[in-house]
Amino acid sequence: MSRILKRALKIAIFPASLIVAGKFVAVFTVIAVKQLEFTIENMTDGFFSIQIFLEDDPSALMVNSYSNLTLLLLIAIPTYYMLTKKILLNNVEGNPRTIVKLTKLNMLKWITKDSTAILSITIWTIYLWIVAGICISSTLQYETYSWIAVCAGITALISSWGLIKTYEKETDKIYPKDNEGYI
Amino acid sequence: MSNREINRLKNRFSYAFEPFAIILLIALFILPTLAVLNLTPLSSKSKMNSNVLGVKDREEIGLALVGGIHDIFKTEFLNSNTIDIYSYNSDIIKHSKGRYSKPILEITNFSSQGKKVQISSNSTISDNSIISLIYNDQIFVLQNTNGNTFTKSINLKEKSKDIIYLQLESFNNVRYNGEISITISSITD
Repeated sequence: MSRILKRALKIAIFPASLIVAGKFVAVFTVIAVKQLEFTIENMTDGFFSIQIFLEDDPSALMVNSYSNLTLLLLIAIPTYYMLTKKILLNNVEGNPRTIVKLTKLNMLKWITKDSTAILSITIWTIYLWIVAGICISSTLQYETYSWIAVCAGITALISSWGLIKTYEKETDKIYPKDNEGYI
Repeated sequence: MSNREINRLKNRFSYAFEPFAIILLIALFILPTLAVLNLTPLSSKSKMNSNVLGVKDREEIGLALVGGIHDIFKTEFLNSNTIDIYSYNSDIIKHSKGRYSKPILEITNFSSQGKKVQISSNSTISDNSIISLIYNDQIFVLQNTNGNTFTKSINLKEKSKDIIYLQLESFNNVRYNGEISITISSITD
């Protein structure tokens, strides 16, 4: 089996579990905090056999919205952390000002070691797209507040831009642009 | 078996497993998505289904939200605790004077006979505004400029499906957000 596939599998397991566990915990936390009545029933029709039911539409909307927001934050925060770290590391090479700023902010550790692989960033960004897609489709079905879909869309777009920028920088290392990297 | 042969076998097997690994990777993206969709709670009224044996002429009326995005009418809900009694709720965002309308409900008469429905409303917007419903080009005023509310009845044709519009006409700028609640119930003669 190729090494990249093995690594991709290893990296993908954590965010996949985080999504399922995050949604599960978030749904039941909101239900517990708001003290809502719920039932878990078997459905005879449809794609899924087990379904959670709440007593009315506004409760379902609130639980869905907050659990989707939690899900978005759970995936977006590590993705943005990795992207920021990678972008900073790439910027540092030709920019001593960034080093000074990072020293002032006591964040020098971020640029001393390149521990973030582009594969991790790519996989986490794909998960972020998936979560954003879930939020947007849920909003279109009136199951999530619209501002959460807007936030999810913007978050996914920014992370895509970051991923493209990082990818460009990484490819520049292999194939330097004209007049750069050559003596 | 020599080490060389073991390595050769190992390599061959690892190549054979590669397609499965790709499928596993794809599954790692799809399965959490399905799990999240499965964990999405629904309201109890969604579980009402019509899985009954036999064929019978349906007697009830059906209402569905039209939905869509509107600047003034936001966060719409349609609830039904009893068959043939529906409650529509919407937020009315602060707005400048003028006339606003939006398709809100799709009303269906499943019966092969004509039906009569009664419509009443309750709103927190009372500042010189008229709230009315438009059905089949007819205007039914539910609340006048003094804030008085009226109950109206609409005749539905047999096996019909139409759109009901909500119209709000404000003669002053409304500087606060409000709510409107409309109750629609079927009347049996």
